[in-house]
Amino acid sequence: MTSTVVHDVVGIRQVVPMRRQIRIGVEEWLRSHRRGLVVLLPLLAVVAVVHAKGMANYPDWVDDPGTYLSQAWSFQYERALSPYSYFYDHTPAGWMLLGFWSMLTNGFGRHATAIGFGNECMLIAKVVSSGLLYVLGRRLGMSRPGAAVVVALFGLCPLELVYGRWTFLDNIVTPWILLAFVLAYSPRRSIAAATGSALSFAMAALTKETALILLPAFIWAFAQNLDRRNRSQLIAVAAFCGLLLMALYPLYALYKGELVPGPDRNSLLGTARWQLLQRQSSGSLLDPHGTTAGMFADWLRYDRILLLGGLVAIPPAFLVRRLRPAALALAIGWLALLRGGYLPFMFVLTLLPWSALLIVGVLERAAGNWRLAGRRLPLAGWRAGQAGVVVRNLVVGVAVVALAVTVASWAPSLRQMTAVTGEPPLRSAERWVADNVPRNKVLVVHDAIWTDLVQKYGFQPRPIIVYKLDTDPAVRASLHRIDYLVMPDWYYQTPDGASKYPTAIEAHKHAVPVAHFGSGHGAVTIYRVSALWRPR
Amino acid sequence: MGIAGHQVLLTLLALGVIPVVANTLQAVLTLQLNFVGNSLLTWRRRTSGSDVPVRVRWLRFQLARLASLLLSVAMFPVLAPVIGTSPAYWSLLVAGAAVNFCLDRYWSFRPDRRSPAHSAARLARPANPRWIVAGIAGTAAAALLLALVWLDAFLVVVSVFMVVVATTTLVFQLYKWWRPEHNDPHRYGNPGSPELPGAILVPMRDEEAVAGPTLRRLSNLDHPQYWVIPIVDHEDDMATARIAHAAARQSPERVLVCPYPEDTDVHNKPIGLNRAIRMLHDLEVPYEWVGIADAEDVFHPDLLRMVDHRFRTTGAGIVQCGVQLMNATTDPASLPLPAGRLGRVRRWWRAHNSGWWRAANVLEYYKWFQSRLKLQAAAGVMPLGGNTVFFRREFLEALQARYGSYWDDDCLTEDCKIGMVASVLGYEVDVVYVDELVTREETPDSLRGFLRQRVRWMQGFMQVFAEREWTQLPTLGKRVLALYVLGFQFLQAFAGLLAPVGLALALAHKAPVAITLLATVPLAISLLNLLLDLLMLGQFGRTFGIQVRLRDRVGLALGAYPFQLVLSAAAVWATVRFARGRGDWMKTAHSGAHFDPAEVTELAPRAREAA
Repeated sequence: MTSTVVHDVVGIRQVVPMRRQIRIGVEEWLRSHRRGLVVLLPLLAVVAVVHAKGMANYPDWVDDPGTYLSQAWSFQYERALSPYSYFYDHTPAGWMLLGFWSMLTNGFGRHATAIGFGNECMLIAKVVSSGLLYVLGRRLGMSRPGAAVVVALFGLCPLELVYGRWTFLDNIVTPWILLAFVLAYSPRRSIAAATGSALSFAMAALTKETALILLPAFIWAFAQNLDRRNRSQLIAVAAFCGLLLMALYPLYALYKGELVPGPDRNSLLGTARWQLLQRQSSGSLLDPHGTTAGMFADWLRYDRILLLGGLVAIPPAFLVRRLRPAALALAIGWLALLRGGYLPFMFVLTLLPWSALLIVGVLERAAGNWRLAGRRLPLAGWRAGQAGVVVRNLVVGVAVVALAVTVASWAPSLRQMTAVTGEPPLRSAERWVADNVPRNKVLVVHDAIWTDLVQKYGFQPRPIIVYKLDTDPAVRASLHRIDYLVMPDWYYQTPDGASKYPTAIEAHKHAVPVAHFGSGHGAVTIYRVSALWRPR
Repeated sequence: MGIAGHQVLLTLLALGVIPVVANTLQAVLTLQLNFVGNSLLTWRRRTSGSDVPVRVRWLRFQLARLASLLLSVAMFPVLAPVIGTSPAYWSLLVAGAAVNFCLDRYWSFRPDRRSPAHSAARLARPANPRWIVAGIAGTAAAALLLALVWLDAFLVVVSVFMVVVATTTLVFQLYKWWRPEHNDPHRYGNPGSPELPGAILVPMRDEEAVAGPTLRRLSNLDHPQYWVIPIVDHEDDMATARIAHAAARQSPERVLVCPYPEDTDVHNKPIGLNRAIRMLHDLEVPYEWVGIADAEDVFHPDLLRMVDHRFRTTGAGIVQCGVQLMNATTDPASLPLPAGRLGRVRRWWRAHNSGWWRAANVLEYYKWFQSRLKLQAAAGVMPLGGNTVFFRREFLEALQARYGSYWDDDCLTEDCKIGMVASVLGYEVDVVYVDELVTREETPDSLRGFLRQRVRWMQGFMQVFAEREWTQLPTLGKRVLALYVLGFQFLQAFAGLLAPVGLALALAHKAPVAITLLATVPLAISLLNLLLDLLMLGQFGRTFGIQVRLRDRVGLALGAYPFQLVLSAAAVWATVRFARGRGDWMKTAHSGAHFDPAEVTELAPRAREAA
């Protein structure tokens, strides 16, 4: 402890050096938040362990993570948005972020497979999302145990675990959206917080453009926290900054000359039109024969409680003032399901965080949390009396029992998901290819193994991702032969195959199997194509 | 440090720089980082409070490291055959590190003890104006060279610089609305009954048009015990002096005329103010505070009660009250009716083609007094706003003790410097902006007048910068803020000017898309500034009951870029004048346009252009 003699100074800051000021600030923050940290940090550790254990082996590899990781790899090593031509199918901020993380930490080099690096990124995203969910719960007005239960529901749900382990853009959108809501509810209500909130939402939209459907809910949350003393300037600055960040995407297309459709080139508006109008609809949830119904049944196989509990919680949540924007967010998601239109199977990720928040929020309100109602004073009327106490205790008791039952019902699934020992068939296939195939052979491969074959094993000419075989003109122009096919078996059995990758189906007819891995839906067979066959 | 150097090296190599050059560049860069790290972290305690300037330390550091490097390189071929390559290398490395440490400790970062007498009242040595301007010109030339050689890098540097300036401008201007508490209507408290006596000094020169009404208004403010001291020059300006004496005869218990000293040829405000204070002392007038009013100011009657209240509650040394220009719109009634033919038509024409810069000027004041000054007061760096400023007697005595006089006789903008000095001496400044109590002023009559006024201010800022009083501010943060505030006018003008130029250059040169996107951001922030200005014009109109029409907003929007041109021109002109050392006092013409015409009975208002 040093002592200083103070002459003629006005402020304490002039005497205390900067390092000590920072240290004092940090210590004070830790001290005032110690109870929350004691609750949150162990919970985050549990969520991280449950997510990380066995993430290399379960679930099986699917194509979208492979695509995004190949684009992230291309961003880092080729300074391009895609190894093939970028055609504005998704906004690029998601895989750019993966690329930046890899640049900082040598991600692709550290892991044996690109999917492994993607898994690490998804782990980080899960932990960050869980932390932000806790903060959002607290800022809405929940108690510490309540917010902790939200994190537990989100982090331990098997459905969220399965989909959260895949490197989807939705898993990167979730932290950004939650950050936007957290900052929108900032207690200080400064222009900085509001601008940060708008920028976070813009980043979410730049990560996956479908995040824009949550814009009404975000605006409602933002508006709930405004103070009329600085409202005008705050809205002007925040809205402008958010729009500016979002506008960088069409500006990028404009500067490249690819904004409007034209012959022989990609265009932002052309792709947007195709996505909105011409894509095949999955059908509404209510249509029993549509794809959506099948997708929904798949989700329910993993877990019913969080999904259906969230749906049930929407109407009572609209009665609670602070929960309304979150209820709107969840309602928008469910409306999209009911409406139909093109819905990919990872859409469930949009619904789960809000479900957890709403279930606990409604129960807390029923148990007597008056802050959630936006009130400043505690209860009045019958709720303050004996009857109120009985009802509250009853609700708390029921909630605790329900939580115990839920976690108990999840435990077997979780145990199974974290204990898978066999590696995914595509990983084994990749090993076989690396060991047995000369590097100058032309391969047509599944997205998930493309990056490894290019980066770790240096295949030259580069392997071709199966979806690009017939859709990318540059690939077709330079295609002379195909030597090997490395894809899951169901690619050849699905009825879409002939329309999406006919060359591969045709090659398959002229090929012999040389290796087989796995069994069931994810089985992979490696085919060697006849040297006499040439693609047309 | 090593990692940073490695990254720099990799970046340079990736950019295609040849390895030798890349290695040299990264070595130099790492050495400078080393110096910064050493002086800020390792040796901070030893060197804080030392008299040795930073550049001397830097020079010593470079010499020391160069010497030890050369010595190691020279010793290596001598040692290596004797003890082997590897041991020679490692031992030289260790020895070099030890030598570096000793040189750092005992030479480069040696704490020089000052003698107590020297440290008592240390005044800064002013810098030579020519050096400063040469520095600015040099930087501009270097930037131009970079543009010619490597346009992409130039675009990146300029865009980043403009984004920083534009963002900090925005933050400064939005301070009042940053958090809701900053804009709370009850943030100043309720003034009770006043307790402190005081005096208002009114320097007047060639002000017959407005002197009478001003003195009458100033005499009737709501405060039980204060004096009004008009300062008039009996030799040169008998007309104004007569009016002042008439007012003194009318209210002898309130108005005391102070004659400008006859023994000097120079005529400026500070000399008159000093004389007035001396007169107060000689006559033994009791006063606790002193206020400055310009000849055309309209003080609100309740202003002094608020000032009194703030002095007592905050204990500040200075209370700065809000000043607001009022004639923002193209409403012809806000301008005086010129004599001669087609007076109304000419007035309409003048109102409409001057509306764009008048609106911008009014909004500048609006943002300056509400936001920027408060932020600077909170940070302790305080170029003052000019008039409607009140000083505590204790603070004036401290000024006298440090400098020998209350106001600096030579300074062009006495208000800028005195604020800085207050920060240096540690006196708090309280900024009070209450919509009803603001002092209402007017913009200059013509664009040329506005330009001259702006040149005068900018030159004043440069002068304060050159006097290096700001280097005496207590903490590094305050010094950086002071530097930024003093240079702000220039940075803002040029950043506003260059924003579209940067984007146009990037598009024309077909720069990489990332750089073009970066060059778009400053232009976007300028657009945000314009939007906020339009918003604030509406708020201004609502607050002061002035009708803002669509044409006013359109004028503001279309005139935004020309306004930046005018500011940049003023900046260049001010720099030239500063370099030549021209310090005379450029007065701006006032025509009393914001007075109620019924009040001006004695003389008809006459607009005159200053020489």
